Amino acid sequence: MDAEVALEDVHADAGEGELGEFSPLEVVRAGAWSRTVFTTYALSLGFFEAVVLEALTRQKSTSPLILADLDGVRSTLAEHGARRVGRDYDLEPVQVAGGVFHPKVCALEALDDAHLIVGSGNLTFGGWGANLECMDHLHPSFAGDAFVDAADFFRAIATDPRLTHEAAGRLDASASGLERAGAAGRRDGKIRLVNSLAGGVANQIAALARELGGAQRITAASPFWDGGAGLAGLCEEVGLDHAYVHAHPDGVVEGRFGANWPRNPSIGVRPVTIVWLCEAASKRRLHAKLFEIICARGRVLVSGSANATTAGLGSGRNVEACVVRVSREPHIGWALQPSAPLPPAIAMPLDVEESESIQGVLRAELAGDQVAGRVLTDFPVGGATAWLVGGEGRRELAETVVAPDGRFAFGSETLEMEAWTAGRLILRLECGDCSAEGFIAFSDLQEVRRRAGPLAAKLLAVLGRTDTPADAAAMMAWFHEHPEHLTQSGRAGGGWGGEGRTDGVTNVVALLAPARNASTYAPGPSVPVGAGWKRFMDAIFAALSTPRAPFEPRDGSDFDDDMGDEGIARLDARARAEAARRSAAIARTLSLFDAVFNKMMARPGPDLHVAGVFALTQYVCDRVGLDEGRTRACLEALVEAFVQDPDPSDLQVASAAVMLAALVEPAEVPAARRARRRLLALGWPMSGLAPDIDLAAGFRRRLRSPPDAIGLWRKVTSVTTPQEEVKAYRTALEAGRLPANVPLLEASEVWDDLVGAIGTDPARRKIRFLPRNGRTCPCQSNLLPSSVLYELKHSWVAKAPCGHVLLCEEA
Amino acid sequence: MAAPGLDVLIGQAAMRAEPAVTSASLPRPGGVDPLGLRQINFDLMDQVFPGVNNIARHIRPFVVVAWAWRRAAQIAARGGVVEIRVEELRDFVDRIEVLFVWSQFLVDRTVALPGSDVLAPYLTSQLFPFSGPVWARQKETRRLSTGLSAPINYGPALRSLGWLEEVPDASGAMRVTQASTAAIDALEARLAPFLDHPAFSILGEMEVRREDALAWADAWGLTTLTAVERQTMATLLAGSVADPKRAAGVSLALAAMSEGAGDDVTLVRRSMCGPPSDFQPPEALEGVSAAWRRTQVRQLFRLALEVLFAWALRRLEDRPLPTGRLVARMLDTSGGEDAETTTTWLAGAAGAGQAATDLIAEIETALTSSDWSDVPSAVRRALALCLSEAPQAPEGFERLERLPLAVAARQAEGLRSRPPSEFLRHVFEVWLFGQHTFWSVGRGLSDARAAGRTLLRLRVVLEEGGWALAPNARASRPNPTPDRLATILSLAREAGLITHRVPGQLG
Repeated sequence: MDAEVALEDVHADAGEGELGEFSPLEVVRAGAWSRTVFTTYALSLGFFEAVVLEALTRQKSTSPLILADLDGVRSTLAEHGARRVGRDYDLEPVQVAGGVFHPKVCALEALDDAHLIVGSGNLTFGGWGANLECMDHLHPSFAGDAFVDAADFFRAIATDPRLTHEAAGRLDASASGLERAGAAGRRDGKIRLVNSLAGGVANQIAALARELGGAQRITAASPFWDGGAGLAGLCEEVGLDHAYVHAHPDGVVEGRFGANWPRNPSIGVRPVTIVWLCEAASKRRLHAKLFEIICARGRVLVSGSANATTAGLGSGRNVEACVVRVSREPHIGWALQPSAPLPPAIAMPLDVEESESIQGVLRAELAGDQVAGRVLTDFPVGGATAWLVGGEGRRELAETVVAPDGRFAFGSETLEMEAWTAGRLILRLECGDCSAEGFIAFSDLQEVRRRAGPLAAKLLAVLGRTDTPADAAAMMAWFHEHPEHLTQSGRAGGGWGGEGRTDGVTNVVALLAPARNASTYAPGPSVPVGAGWKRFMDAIFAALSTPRAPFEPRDGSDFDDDMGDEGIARLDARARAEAARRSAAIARTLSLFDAVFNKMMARPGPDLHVAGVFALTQYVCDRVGLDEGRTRACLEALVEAFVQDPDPSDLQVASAAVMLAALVEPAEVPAARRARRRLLALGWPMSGLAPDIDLAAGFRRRLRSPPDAIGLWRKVTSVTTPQEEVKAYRTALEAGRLPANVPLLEASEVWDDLVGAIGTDPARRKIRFLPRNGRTCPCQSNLLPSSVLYELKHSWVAKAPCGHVLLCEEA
Repeated sequence: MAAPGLDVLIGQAAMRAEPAVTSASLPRPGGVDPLGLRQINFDLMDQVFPGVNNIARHIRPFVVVAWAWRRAAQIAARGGVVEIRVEELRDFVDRIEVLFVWSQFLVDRTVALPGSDVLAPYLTSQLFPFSGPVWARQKETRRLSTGLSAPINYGPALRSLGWLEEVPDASGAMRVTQASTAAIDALEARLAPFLDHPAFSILGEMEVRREDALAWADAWGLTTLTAVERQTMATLLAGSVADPKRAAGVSLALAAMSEGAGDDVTLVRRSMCGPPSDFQPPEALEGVSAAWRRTQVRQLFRLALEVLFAWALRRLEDRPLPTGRLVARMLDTSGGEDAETTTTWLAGAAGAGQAATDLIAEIETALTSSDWSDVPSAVRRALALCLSEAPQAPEGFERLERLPLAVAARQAEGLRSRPPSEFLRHVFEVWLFGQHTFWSVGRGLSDARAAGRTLLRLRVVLEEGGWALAPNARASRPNPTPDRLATILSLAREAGLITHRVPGQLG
């Protein structure tokens, strides 16, 4: 034990320290937040997505923003599984000249409410519970000043020239909200938020101590020390020549920088343990940063991000944020026990490969097919190569030029689709031996969130193949409410989907303002308005068509989170309730699907986006589970719609549907003929490859064991359709020779008439050609008898009562 | 305990005069498919043994449930009912299921039927009431978990094998198929002496005495199958109306048995893969043999990665470690530390050419030692074999996020000329931790969107000191995924497709 510590100097205060534990997660979970901003130094995206984002999603909060130091961002680049960044939330790296971005602030705003959580914990498991951390949960009802201070802090982050980032706009918006909340709250000066962009933290603490008659005792707890210089500076500011330093019995969190004890102080350091802190530790290592300054007329209590180092407490170094509680009543301070300095920690060796992998950091944004970004660390000016980096390796995107301020831009046509489907995208720039990496934010998501509202998360889940029965039901309800998204016009982005319209409300001023003439309309941005939405919907339909596992459990695979491999049901009540919810969601999806399908197919026409309905149906068949009969009926209806208004862009999928419909028909030859007729109508080349039936794999899953598709294709290419034979006959008739390969005509009862007409005029005049739905013989206007019409419909050839041989032709 | 609301939290915060210490509590841990790899295994099993699972191993439950649906409809028709709520029919089916299982447990508590825990309280009671709120709750529970018709028991196979089919009116009612009718008649004949009992002759509420249930036990016991029931299952399982893939799979299993594998499931599994076993499948079964081999290689791949993941978690129990440390430890303990390239490291493992089933067994053996010291070398051999047998391209059902073996092999190919440490870095960061994080987060967010349970599936995260265990996370011991072969052999045996003397012949 340090001989300098005299027990009589230690004030016992049993009343202090009974703080109770606090879970920041409980606050996040307790509200639906319309704006959320986190600031942090270290960052674990795995933790954030699994814990914090989960809580925000559960509450249907809007997508949050994380501001993190370059070190934090750099370390997350190796977290290959954390793929929501840039998609479900934004991550903005912050570069600080001469220091690091170190504040740990969480600002939660709702429509008429705001909360702040300020403390020592980073956005990591350690920071939110595994380490011994301290946090303040503040609300305007008792800490209005801190909200106004926080607004100033956010504005300072947005504008301070030492900081480089691209989050100024969002910070400013958040600052306005916090300022409003604070101004309406209680402002008694007892709880303030100090930050190092407004001057050194030590300096601000000292000013408060002076207001309270000057410091008499200072006690500090901190995991990191710089030999003692930072603590000495604070003592000097408050006019003390010694300090009590908490020696945490469970040790401190290991870090790459600093020591665990002030070993070379220019002031007296008296090792103690803060009694309440030890009692609350639960064997956790210290990462909290606390300073208690007992003054003549009260107490200043500081907690937050600042370590007891010059970088933390001084000015012009790190960016820090701390809550200061000012008590203007006499205070005897925390109960302390004499202790001994912590032994030096065994330095955590930096892994050789890890150190080699440390690189520069950039940030980038994708809008349409354009990528624009900025390298935030040192990087050569001039040409650089852009790569897309992922678990599978890396792929060259483009050559670009890095400007002196680090900015760069390039175009990439393929990136957008990957952004919709793959989740996080990492961009790497290389120039010689220099490299920088960072995440690509996807700005088109803003449009999607605006149009789809709360449904956006569910649609994104479909894209990311993590959809649940509840997502399927919500999506189906949306299509039911907005069937225009299954039409060609709605698909083009002009629909009245969930664009966030405020029903019944419009801007009168805008209505009265003269509209621009189309001819004078100024050229817009390179990405047309609504284009992002259309591409998004295209990606959705593509995702719906992609085979995936059914929701229905097989071998317990869907319950695998709660069951052992043996699959035996030991579901607890909650899991059973969940299973019941799943069943209900599946039933609702099926019911809504029926309504959507019937509504859309009741009015097929050129505006119907048949491929969209096909994709939706395929998804329901595959993932949700239609019975076989309904699957067949839907498939047949869709094939008819495809054939009725062929769209060349749907050729592949329409042809696959035709083939599958033929596969499940019992009679092979008629099925092959029908398929051939339909494929010809669609424009499928019979001399080429067979349609890829896997494009209809979702339907196939529900249809019992259809036979081999190759055999069917052989049959399809070998048979002829009545229409082809009629056409061949007409050509032959005009050429005056017998047609070849017309087995259907040869088998018909009028074959002799047809043969006889070749080359002989009187007999030839007996042959008449009808349009597809012709109902009268060309020689007279009387309706043909129904028996003849039936013959024509099924055989395309018949003999009319007037003696003419009628042949139907397809348009 | 309900989570506190904002008012409570604000009140607590306002009362504090000092900052609070963060709570160490986080969502409860859970999850048993940490890398999200298992779905592909199920899909591959579908290529050989579609329509069955690992639970529905006996014929009699199929017949009983199918009979119950028909009996319920007959009772309604006899009463002159034209339209009926499906729930009334289902109530009867639920009752029959319970009576069947209860009667079997009364005779033998170890009988292989689901629901032993739920029915345990009734094994000593004299009466089973099929009425009131308790019965209503039991029905709800059973339909999702312990009931014979539940999705994880006999439910899916009842339909996929063709015992029952949905009535095409979207009501959810089931009816028997032509193929199953004879078997149902046969069971009904056995139950004929008891059919006047209200349990079998009326719909709606009632209660059944223990002595009655005991009296019925033999008539519908698991071992008192009639020849017609056996024949029906033979037809549905592997006969003319069966799924051709399953029929081929059954034929392959029977052929392997007759060629020397005998009754030993492990040997049958191994032989069905072909080389290096001595079994050469007939030409007509080469396709299904290849599909089975792919399934077993995938089983091995999944098991090897999950075991390596668990091994890594054990290494992290003391302190966080960067990837490089895990890689170094793996190289030190798996042998081949002198290998200069990934190719030589994998080749030195002598895994290629071995049977995937043997390497699965080797991994299981390695897991029995307390220190798992043989795990790294077993995993190394497994990876070598899997990568050497990887298909050129993934099957259509193999999604990228499930890490198809073909995709993994393609990634490994790009690292073959690099040092093994680079390959292993990729394995740890992408195949293990990347997969784990993706699926843990994805499932958690799915639950959150659906307002489902809160479960922390994430077991490892990247923190300041490297990879660190999530709070309360621990390494659980992975097991091979059951591959339905035991089910097939059990059903085939009961159906008479396997005779003791001449396996492979219809019994």
